[in-house]
Amino acid sequence: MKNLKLKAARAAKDLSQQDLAAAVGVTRQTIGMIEAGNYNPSLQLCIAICKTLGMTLDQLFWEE
Amino acid sequence: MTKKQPQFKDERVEQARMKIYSEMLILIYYAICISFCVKVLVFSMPLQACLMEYVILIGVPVYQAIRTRQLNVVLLREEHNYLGRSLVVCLVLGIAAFSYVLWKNGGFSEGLSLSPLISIAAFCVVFLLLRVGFVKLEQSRQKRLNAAFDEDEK
Repeated sequence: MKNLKLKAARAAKDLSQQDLAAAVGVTRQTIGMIEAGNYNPSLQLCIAICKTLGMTLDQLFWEE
Repeated sequence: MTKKQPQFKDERVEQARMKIYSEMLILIYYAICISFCVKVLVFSMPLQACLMEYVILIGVPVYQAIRTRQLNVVLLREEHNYLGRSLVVCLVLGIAAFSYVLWKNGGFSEGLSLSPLISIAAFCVVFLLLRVGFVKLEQSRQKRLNAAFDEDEK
């Protein structure tokens, strides 16, 4: 399932996939795959993404 | 002076790399196994001529056993019958080797050369003994780890 919340949060911060990838220490493809729902990131990576975007795990990764 | 790039490891790439390495190891292991059988059975080479294959075939599981203990993981799954499967593989290998030697020598009447069979049997015995030891050790370690992390046991 696509992670549109992550995509929206990244866009709101005016970050490209490359910027976010560099900030959390992964490749751009990984961010692209997380947003496309093709890769389940580790908790460690989820937390790093949340801290970079100033959001909580619930806000970015919790499915209603 | 060029700016040094920050060192990072992408977990997805690392996982894919490890998966490819593990697949490569399995392929190489089977290739070495086939090489060992061909050398012994087809070319009738003595065990001394297959020393490298022998060392790799025995050394890889030993290395695996040492590393699993060091990294504090148990690779065995409780539902699998590892010993039964190893025994069946060794039996199938033994029967196949015996049938091949019998076919190559034209049956029992022309005098059976037992040296290839002894080489294969020696390998199977060493491999099985190591496997039994490894599985028993891992099972006891698995119980110990389960007990250590089981809150109901306290």
